[in-house]
Amino acid sequence: MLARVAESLYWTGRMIERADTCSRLLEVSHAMTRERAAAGPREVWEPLVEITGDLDRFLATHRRADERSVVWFLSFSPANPNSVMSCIRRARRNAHGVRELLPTDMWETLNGLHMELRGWPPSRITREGVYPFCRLVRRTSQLLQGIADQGMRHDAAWWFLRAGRYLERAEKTARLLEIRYRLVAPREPAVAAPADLHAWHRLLRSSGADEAFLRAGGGLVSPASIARFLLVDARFPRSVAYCLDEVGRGVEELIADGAMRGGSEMLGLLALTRDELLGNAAAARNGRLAWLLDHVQRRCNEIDVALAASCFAYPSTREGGAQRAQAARQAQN
Amino acid sequence: MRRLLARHRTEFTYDGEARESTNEVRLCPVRHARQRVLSVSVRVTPEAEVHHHRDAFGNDVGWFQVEGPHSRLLVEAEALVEVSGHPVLPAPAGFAALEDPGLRDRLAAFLLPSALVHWPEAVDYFAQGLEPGADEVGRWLVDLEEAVNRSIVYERGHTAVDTPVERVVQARRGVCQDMAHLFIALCRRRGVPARYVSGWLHQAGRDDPAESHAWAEAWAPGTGWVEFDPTHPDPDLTHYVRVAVGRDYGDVPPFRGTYVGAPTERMDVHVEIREVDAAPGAAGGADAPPVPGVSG
Repeated sequence: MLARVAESLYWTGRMIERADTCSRLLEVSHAMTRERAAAGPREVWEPLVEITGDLDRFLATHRRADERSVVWFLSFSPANPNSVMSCIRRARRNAHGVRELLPTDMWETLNGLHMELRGWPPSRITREGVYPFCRLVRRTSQLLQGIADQGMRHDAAWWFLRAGRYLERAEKTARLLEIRYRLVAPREPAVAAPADLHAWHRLLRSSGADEAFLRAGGGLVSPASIARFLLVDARFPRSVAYCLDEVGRGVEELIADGAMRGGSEMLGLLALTRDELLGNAAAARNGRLAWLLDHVQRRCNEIDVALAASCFAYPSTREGGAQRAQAARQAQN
Repeated sequence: MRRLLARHRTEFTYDGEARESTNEVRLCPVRHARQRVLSVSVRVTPEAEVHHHRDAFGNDVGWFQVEGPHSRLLVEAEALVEVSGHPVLPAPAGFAALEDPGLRDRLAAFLLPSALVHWPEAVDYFAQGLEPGADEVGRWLVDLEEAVNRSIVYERGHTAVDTPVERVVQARRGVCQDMAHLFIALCRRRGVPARYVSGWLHQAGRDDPAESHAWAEAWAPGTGWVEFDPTHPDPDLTHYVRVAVGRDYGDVPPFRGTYVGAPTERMDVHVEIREVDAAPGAAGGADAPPVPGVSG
């Protein structure tokens, strides 16, 4: 498989997932402000921008983080490369380059979403609220995952798509936890104030994990139990550990498929990250959670870099070159 | 009618290693009212399979990939073509015939501005200086061909593949491609559908290596597409092998592609066209055309 093709598949997976995460966050934050009149911008909107990783960029173009500015910034803003619309545009552009490897249904669904959102007047989101928007994005993302899982052979292409999705999810779940933790760091983690508990519960919802958490019998809703669930639950497909396992499986398959050079190094990195995660799972109780979350994100970045180096690395990018156009010559006579 | 054997050779030399090269070539002439393609082949070194398809303008497009590392890419096309002159001369018709909405709709692509062919103020100004006065389309086109040829000095190295027409009229110099673009711009500006033809010109009696050539086609009411060559007005079309048509050069570059790796050190294009005996075997077979695709 061409490095370019592998990379496009990987980013298609990542960008769909990022749009999905972003829309969940928007939806839950919006609900939060409606449920609690006291929830000020510092508690809801600023962390939201921070979770998506663009506070500096946001502050460069907006005076303050409030409902109007943040909702626009995260939904449609073309200035924000991580807004839902930007992610979908990038997912679509990547998928476009590898259309022949994707089920027609999948391409049409993604393209359809892009076209529909492009047709949305900017005022619609202020008029109707974020729900129709978020629901559309979330449902479509789920549909796309379903089509990919059921409509594709589970070959190298599928694994690249999947590795993108799960690495993105692992990183975002860790980021989500980190910001939340920093914001309402409980002095006595086992017994949080009801208001803080509400914030933690919202965290579960924004990861789409609230129902799964309750059914898993997590029991007492405490910051520690929630963090534990989102970090290391072996069976919940949004926990960091589960996501990293999926990336690991993908790497094994890709090595077996010959689509990856020198993948053993990356397997080592994945195993290390997993060990660190499980070995420190108690961190939630001993106050080292912030360190662990930061560390996990750094590891996710390293995995991304390693993946790029062994699968997408054009030899020339190592030598400082890039993709070039063939020379062209004028007709002369 | 003339039987021409054309060899088109493009060689890229990279300043190091190149790989993941994906390319499109428009180097295979296709059947046309005035040309019959007897045989055609494209060969790539390092070896790669060439897949052919037709683009929106009916041109043959060859597509190939070279994945592994290479420091040199060679593409050789060879075609044996029988070419004849204009089947019909433009019938006299006024500009009113071009107002037909059905026609304008059908040929909209060749009436609207395109990336390299448009007519900003500079071109307008230029056009007013040479506008042929004829009110009959065929006559007007012949005059225009002559006028463009007169007002642009043929000079190599002054323009590049993507030089837009306004720069050509400002400098008043360029090569065949620029003159073709200018001719097309002036036609479209006047409401005459016009398109770009890329191909090969057989220059009888000249020993220096040929080059690719570009000319233009305009739509004359009652006649259809008529070829004009502002570089060599009133052309003898039996020397012209048509390879591709499009809105402008951007639609029909002979070679287009991307790769990853070292920069290009040099690009050599070599075109060789010679006339071969129209009746192989008749002259003792000595000049019988080689079988393209098999011979090198």
